[in-house]
Amino acid sequence: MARDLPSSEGSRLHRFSFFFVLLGQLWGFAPLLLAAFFVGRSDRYDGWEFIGTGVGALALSAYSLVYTLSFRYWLLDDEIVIKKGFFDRTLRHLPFARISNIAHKQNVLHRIFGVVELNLESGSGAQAEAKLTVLTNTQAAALEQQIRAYQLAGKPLSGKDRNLAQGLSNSSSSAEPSAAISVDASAKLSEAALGDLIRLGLISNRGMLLIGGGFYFLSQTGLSKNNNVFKGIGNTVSGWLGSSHGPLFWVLSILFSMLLILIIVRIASIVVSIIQFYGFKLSGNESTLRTESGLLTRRGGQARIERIALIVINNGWLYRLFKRQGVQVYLPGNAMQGDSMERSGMTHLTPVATLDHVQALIERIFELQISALRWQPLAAKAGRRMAKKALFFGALFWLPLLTFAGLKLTNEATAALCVAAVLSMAWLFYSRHKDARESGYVLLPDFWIIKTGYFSQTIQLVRRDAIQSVGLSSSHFDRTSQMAGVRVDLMVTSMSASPKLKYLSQADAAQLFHLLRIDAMSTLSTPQGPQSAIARSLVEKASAVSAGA
Amino acid sequence: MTTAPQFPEFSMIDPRMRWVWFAQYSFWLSIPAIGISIALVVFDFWWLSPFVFVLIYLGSYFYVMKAYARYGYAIAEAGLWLRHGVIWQAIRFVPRARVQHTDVVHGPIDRKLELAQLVVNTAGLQYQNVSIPGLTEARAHELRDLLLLQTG
Repeated sequence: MARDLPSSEGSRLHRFSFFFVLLGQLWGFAPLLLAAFFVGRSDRYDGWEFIGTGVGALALSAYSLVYTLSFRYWLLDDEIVIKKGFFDRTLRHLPFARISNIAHKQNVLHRIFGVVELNLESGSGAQAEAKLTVLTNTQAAALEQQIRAYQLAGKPLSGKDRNLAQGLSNSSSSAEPSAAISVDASAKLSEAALGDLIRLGLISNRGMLLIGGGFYFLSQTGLSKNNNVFKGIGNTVSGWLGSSHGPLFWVLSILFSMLLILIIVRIASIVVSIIQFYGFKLSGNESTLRTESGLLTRRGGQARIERIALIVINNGWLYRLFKRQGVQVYLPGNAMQGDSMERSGMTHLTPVATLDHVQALIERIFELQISALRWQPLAAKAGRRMAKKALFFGALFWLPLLTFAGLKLTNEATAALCVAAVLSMAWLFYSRHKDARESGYVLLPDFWIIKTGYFSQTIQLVRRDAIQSVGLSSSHFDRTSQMAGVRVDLMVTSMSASPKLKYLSQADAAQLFHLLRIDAMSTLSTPQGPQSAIARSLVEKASAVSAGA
Repeated sequence: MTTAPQFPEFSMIDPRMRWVWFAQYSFWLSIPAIGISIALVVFDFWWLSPFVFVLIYLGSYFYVMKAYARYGYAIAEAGLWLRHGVIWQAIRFVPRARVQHTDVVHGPIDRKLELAQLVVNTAGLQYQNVSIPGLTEARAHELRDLLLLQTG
């Protein structure tokens, strides 16, 4: 609720904020600067580059200075009020009850200066509702705790804790939030050991981006011209086989190259996993969870459990090979922002952990036993339908290739390609049937749980009271096979978080659609408060805490 | 699962939308048709060009007629229903309580035909905007008021 500002001048950002806002601005212009550096390299010097750079630097500095000097915030009982801008002034009221995700970021520079960047997200749009660049660690912790305390018990802070959050304490460097609201009051729920992060690197393909970027850099800078790796591989294989360049030479060269790429990607993936998740820690209590991770830049977030709209358990064949699983979460507002390649705030309950640990975590936080679920299957002919589709696209790939081989290549090469085509089609047939057999769903009072695939299996836990709309769809081939699919739309800003289940029998799909529709209506008849069983229990627990206090 | 699913009776949109859609499809499909015709002229099959245009316009016409017949909406007590699609058919339901805000939009062709489009915005991602085209101005406002009417 909007109201008049208090008579005080409000709190300012940290005195180094100007520096961090300026860095943020420069980072935003980094692609442009890099492009200018690589594309516009020239031996001709006329001085305009320096003038242009100087004007740009002055403009960015002026903007950063005005932004930080004009920024004020007030912490009221139930909301934070932010005033910013000089020419174009903005006054924003953000009620604590609306905040779904508190994202914090701390890179090496932040740590040196003892500050942290805080984003308060409510899920209305892709950008954070309030961006505080930057606060002292103590201020940020106290602010997080004030929001948490309000959301847990509807109880505003007063006195010392609010002063801390507003940076009004006399000795801010040594002051700590009171024990009643301390972050450490939360229990540690999960950690990621270094060994597990190495396993995660071996499981995931996180290094592909790094490798792609590396190749692009080499190609742009011309460093790769005199350093042809593949020529080196050819020479190595030639060394093994003498001077012969027959079919065996090419097969071995290709296999050796693939092996080399695989090793490089895995090493890069391990490096990326460690940089991203080093020191991962999940802590929380019955209502709130908090994560932090990262080797160079520490990122993390704090969110209420009931605001988690979607939980995704990664259970692909490589995860199963290492007897591990990973758990991602999606919240309103934790979108990929600006030039960031990662979602902000809380993104994982654990990046990688043993099966028992993941089961225990899900059971403790969501009161769900995944292993005890009784999965409803897809339509009886789902495997055949999926296989037909895969074989059609497989044929589209192989037929032109085999025709070309028959016309232009030797009989041996054509025969080899025919064998490869038959094997790949057989694999497609088998894998799609296996995918269909292993897929299914469970409808519980609070969650719609979807298990899809076998080789790249994911289990999605959709919180039913987060459903925005429900869809029932079918293609022409679905209808001829008496099948349909159900899709729900959630209040999360990520394209990958759009749960759907295809290849259900028409009757099951219609029933499921109907139940999810009724559920979405009934849970939302009172938009002021969550109505699911878990949310109700959380509210009861919060009320008990409030009454006890 | 014992409850039999029930769908409401869907209302049709204004029949003039068939011609709006036909004009739109014909315009956009003319671009590849011109490209194909140029290729046919270059390869000395120019006499096939008229057939390309006839095929595209006839295809558009039948597709639009089918799409119009499939397109339906209903505003029930519970929320908004939408039925659409010819090859990929879908029925979508947006609970009343999930409606964030609504817009009544008039494009240039809409204005010429005195039609309007009701856009219903939710906080979702895939179906952030659900729109009902081909409404009269009065009907669009009536539907908007019905949708925003608080029940219970």
